[in-house]
Amino acid sequence: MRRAAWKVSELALPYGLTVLLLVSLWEFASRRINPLFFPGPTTVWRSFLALASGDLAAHVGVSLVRILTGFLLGSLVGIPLGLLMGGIPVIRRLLDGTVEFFRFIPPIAMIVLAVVWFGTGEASKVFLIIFSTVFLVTVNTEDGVYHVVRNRIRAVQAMGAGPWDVFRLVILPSAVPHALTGMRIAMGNAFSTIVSAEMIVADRGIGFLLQDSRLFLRTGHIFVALVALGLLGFATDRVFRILIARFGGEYVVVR
Amino acid sequence: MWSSGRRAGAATLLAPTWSIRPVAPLASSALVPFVGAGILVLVWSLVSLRFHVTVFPSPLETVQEAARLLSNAELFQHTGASLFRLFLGFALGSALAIPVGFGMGLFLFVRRMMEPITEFFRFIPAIALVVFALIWFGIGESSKVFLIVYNAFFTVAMNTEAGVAHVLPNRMRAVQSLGGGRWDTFCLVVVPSVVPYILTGMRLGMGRSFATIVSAEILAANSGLGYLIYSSREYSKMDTVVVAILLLGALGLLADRLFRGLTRRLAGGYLPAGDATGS
Repeated sequence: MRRAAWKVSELALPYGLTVLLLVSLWEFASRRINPLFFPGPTTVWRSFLALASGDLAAHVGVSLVRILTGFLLGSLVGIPLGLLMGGIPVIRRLLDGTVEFFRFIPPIAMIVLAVVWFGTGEASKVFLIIFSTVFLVTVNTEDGVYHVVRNRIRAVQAMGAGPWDVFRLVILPSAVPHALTGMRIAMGNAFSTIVSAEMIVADRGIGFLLQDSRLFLRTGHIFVALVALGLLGFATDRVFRILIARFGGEYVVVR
Repeated sequence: MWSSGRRAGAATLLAPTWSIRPVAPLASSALVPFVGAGILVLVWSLVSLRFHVTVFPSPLETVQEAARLLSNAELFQHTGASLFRLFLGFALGSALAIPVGFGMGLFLFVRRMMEPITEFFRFIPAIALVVFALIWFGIGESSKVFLIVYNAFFTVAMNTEAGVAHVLPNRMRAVQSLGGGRWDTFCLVVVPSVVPYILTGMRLGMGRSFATIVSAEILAANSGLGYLIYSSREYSKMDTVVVAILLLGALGLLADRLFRGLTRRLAGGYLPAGDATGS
């Protein structure tokens, strides 16, 4: 990996310069613009202190629980479905068109149906996250199975392996990095979906915090919520990258 | 994969791809995907029998509603409004992102300076900025276009950068050994090699832009498919909602296929040994 080779001392100058430039630009701009429209660093810091001692953690927690529940359920359906579709031609041809179509429906478009079917509580949000996750994970897992290196299969078969051994020893480990990649992309979409869903119908969560702060024009609070979202997204993305590097290992397709 | 004239038994039908057995003729029939869609519509019909149209419209009710919407041009107006915002924002965002991506890919210092920005902002969903978009740009078109610009920018910039990083060194050496200077290398090797990556970035960004425009139209608009979905809720017109959802899926699929086709057409010979267009 390119970045791993960089020394901290090499990065400090450009990174520090950018952050310094951004913050001073931010401070400068906020002094000339009404803080209601564009809160400066000091306003945001005060908002952060107010929220941190209040319910920032609670909102973040609620959003995370929704995302994780839906994400796990969606992956639990998507991975076996992808394995089946990748492995068995009839199933792939039966479902490919359908899955491919549903993949392009923006999950948030389902919000009205979700609320009518599952109410305004947790179930409708979890449903939306499942919807954002399941098709992406299915398609990527299927892709992983489908693109297994044929010679690996032949090698195992030459040693006398049956279909189950081929699945266990070759197909599954080759599909894992693809499934994880699907999950990583799905996680990004899940964040976007939950924020929109919470802005539209919810009484808790980061999206609700954004919408609530909008109503009271507390722009400082909005900035805090945005930064929290950025940090959460960054952290979960890193976790998946590490998982892919760890479990993908020698099976990762070199690109 | 090869098929033989052998009669299909259940065992061959369900044989995995890696099985030595021949694939059943039934599995290779062109009708299979339609059978899949048929089963889906059947299940949809059966479930809808148990519910009222205001909760779970049947396929027939959905088709009737689609016909009604098509007859009074309402659907065209909403679709047009959404597509206009999408394409304007998308074109602007890409136009901004491509030079930035090239700068990041070509110059190490630019990349290091931009990295904290891109790495941070790309994890903030565009829709979370809707409040500021409204405060800064008002409730008109420009706030929605701004969100799409934001959405497209990061995906396209990062893919452009990745494309520059993945230019095959041997291609550059080949041009240089024939006497090509820096400018020649850039025009003859770097740009054509990066095009498929740019198009891939645009294709991925397009999917996210659809989601963003729908949410933005639900939260603050009086036209567009997102608005149509959310306003239909007030009249419990779930059939309209389903029509709009299916239309969004079809448009998204169409846009994706357009970009894939474009990538293959424009970038044919420059695709790396693997597949740069893979999702």
